[in-house]
Amino acid sequence: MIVEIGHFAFILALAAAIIQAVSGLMPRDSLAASAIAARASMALLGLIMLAFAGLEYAYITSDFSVLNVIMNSHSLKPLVYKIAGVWGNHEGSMLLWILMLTVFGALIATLPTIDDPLLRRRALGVQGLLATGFIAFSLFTSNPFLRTDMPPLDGNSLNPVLQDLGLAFHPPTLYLGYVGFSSVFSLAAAALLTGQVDNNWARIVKPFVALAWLSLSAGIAMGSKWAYYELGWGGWWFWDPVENASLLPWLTGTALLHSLLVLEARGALKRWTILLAVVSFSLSLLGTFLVRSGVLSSVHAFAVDPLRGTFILMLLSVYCGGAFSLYALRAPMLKTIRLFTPVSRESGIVVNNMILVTMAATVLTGTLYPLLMDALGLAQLSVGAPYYNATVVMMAIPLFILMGAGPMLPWKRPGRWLFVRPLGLCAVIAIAATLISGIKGALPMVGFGTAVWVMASSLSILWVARKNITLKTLAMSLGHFGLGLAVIGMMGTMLWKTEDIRVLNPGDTYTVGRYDLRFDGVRDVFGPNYGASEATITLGAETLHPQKRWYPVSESETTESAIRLTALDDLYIVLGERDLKFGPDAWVIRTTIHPFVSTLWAGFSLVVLSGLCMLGYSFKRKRAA
Amino acid sequence: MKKFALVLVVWLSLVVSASAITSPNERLADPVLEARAVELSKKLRCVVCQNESVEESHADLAYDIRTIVRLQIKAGSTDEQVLNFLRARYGDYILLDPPFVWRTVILWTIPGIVFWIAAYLAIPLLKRKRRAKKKRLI
Amino acid sequence: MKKSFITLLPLLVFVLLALLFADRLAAPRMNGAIDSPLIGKPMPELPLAGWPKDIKPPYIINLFASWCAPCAIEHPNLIAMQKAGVTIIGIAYKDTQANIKKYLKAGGNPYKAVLYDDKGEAAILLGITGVPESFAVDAQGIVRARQQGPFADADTINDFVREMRK
Repeated sequence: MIVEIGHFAFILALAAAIIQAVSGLMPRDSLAASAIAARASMALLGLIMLAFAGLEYAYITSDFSVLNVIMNSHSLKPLVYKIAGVWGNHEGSMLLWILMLTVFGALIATLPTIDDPLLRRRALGVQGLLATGFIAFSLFTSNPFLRTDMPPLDGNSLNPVLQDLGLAFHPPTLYLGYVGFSSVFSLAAAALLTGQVDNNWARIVKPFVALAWLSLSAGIAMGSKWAYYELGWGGWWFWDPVENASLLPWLTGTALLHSLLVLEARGALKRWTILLAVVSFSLSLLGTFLVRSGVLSSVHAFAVDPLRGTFILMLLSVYCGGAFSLYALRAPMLKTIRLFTPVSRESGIVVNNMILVTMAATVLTGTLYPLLMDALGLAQLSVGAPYYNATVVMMAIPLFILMGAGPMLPWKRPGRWLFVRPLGLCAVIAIAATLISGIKGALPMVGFGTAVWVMASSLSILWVARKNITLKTLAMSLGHFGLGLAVIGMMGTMLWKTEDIRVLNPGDTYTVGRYDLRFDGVRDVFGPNYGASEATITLGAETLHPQKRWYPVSESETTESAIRLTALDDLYIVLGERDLKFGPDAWVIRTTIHPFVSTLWAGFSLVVLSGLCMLGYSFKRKRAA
Repeated sequence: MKKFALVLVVWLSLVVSASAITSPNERLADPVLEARAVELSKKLRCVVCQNESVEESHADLAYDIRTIVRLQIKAGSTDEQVLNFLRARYGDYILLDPPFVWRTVILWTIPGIVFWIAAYLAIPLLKRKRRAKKKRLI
Repeated sequence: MKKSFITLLPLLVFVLLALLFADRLAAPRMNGAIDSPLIGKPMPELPLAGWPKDIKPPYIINLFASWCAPCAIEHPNLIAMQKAGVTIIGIAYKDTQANIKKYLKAGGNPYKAVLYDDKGEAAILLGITGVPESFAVDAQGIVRARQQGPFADADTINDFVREMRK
């Protein structure tokens, strides 16, 4: 019954979305229309929440009359994974996507910082249009509420590799990011329609950008962390097409939040900022398309269905095509301001944007190139890590150098070259640190040096402003410092790891790096829905237990590595195969030490924290004249 | 483009180093040859996986290809020869590092192209002030 | 006007991308389906013991194994093909003689000859991506087609055999 209510609410939601879209975009200026749009958005939110609750109910009670629950759940699954199972599949995750969309719609409707009622109304209209398309898509091609007359005794279970807390909550965080950019898109389209893009618009849109950006950052970081801890061999980024699809809006989103600084402070870069706003969400939509259409092969891809892909492509054409057409028509009418000086904060941000956009264009090209070559019948290509390392990663170096210098550059005037001294000091610190560290090789040295440079620069900004640190300063410093820290972590995992593979008999001791370990054999253990071979490795008073698990329902095997995390490094132990030639209970154990991994996660956390700071200071009403 | 190739070579050591090797017997005795084998394996795609290199993948076929790479390196083949051997049987698909041929010109030059377009659009922004300054002097 | 052209650029890029996606949706490539570079070239010499020199092309080379479920699914199709007069040479991939004998006894033997590639070395020389996999070799010894995965339907089989007979 509850599921049916949810389904019905979902259908009503389509009507609410249409009402919101029409009342929002109706050409005539009308107070009534504004009120209707706002109320529709609240009704829409309520209805979608009801629908989502209905689906969750089906999962939590293991209602196997619902097809979606059969395909993606099982009565033996722990409760938290049943809850998360709702979004572990195409249909359910689409509903989550729509839920986020309606949350942001409601935010646009209610946020008091939006002081232009026409802007609000138009933005609601665009948001309603987005909701209409996606609810229709879901209802007609991917309805999670479909039932069966003959419920089976149990479900088909979720992929065991996905039964992990971090991974379970990675989609909602990521979607908050992807879909968060929809509000930015709507506000940008609305601004193009009203013809007003200025400092005020920048102020209005900032909290939305902050929320979307920090969520996306957190989501990507969670995904990397999961890959590192779950996949068993210490990699945390694979340039997989769907990973790239999440990186793309992050890159343009970062460019956007910097460009907004200029728009708010100087009223400049109007056309560019609006374009970034539209592009960021378009890239989110592109990611949605890539994951759900089957056009690219990826670990992340949901079940392939060209019909769904076609529907999404049509939505993309309407939304992105429409927005870009609107841009082509209206953007030239925006009055431009050009008051830049070659060496200033503004120009620093312009160069920052240039590099970020080049990085994004490169990632986009690399991801889509195999598709292009296949379509033209020219070749079947692969574009992997080697390409991205040679291009995108290299571009990060000048970006980082700029990152250290940029925040110290003054706005407007070139005259005051006061920043040269502190920057000089940071450069000296960076060079000294690189030399002291004993790192060899041109590129590792440059990588390390620029990371220290950025960190030193961020700290010196905090020091200079120590008597009065604002959230704004904190946001900037934390963000940059965090990235520098993360780079140190990245270099640790890539360059300085120690690896040891050997066959051991129970009782054998061995030493890897600074750790003295003892192998104490392998035994069989059982979990709630799996059986496993579990090894015991003793380190001093502690034991570590890498496993090889077998999930009978889905007939899949996974490797659970044992990880011991310390501030200095990660000790990573993987259970290999049995080696009977060596002994009756001999097994292969692979031990790896990854230095500075904690700094990678710490760095990412600081970046997310900086986003929160930005969110904190961006809820400003119109500043006093 | 030679510069790019040089950059590529230097960066090989910084490719995300994940490895699926679970037996010490897989590794070659000579560390120099083994290092070459690992670098090569990182450039080869596991054709039965979703976007992993032969070095990272746990698949059987990846194991077979790692074995062949090491066998050939031990027998004295150059990196080029090993790559061409596999390319002749699996096509360019198996190369994670796309070759620089006329088909991939756009792929390899896109960073440059986009950056120059961005610069072309941005430079006028940075020049205006001087003109405005001139006006003030008058 | 230069300004208007620049603002048109994002739309242009989007249209091109949309066309690319539409094309790829219309002609989807099966996950992992790779074009074999061997097509159009002579069948390579395989280092397998007991290669039947007396069997002349055209024939189909089919890689299979007793432990491979899709191979068992495809097996009746192979029997049918053999009955229709197609010569099939089987290569047993990473399997033992005993298991293969049992497998062929149970399901029937469509192969004119069976060779054993117990380490899978010959298979890599053919660039296979798994089992079952089949190659159509024409009368001149040139590889004409490659089938990844089992022969599932009559159309695929007919096309494959037609290629072989060219």
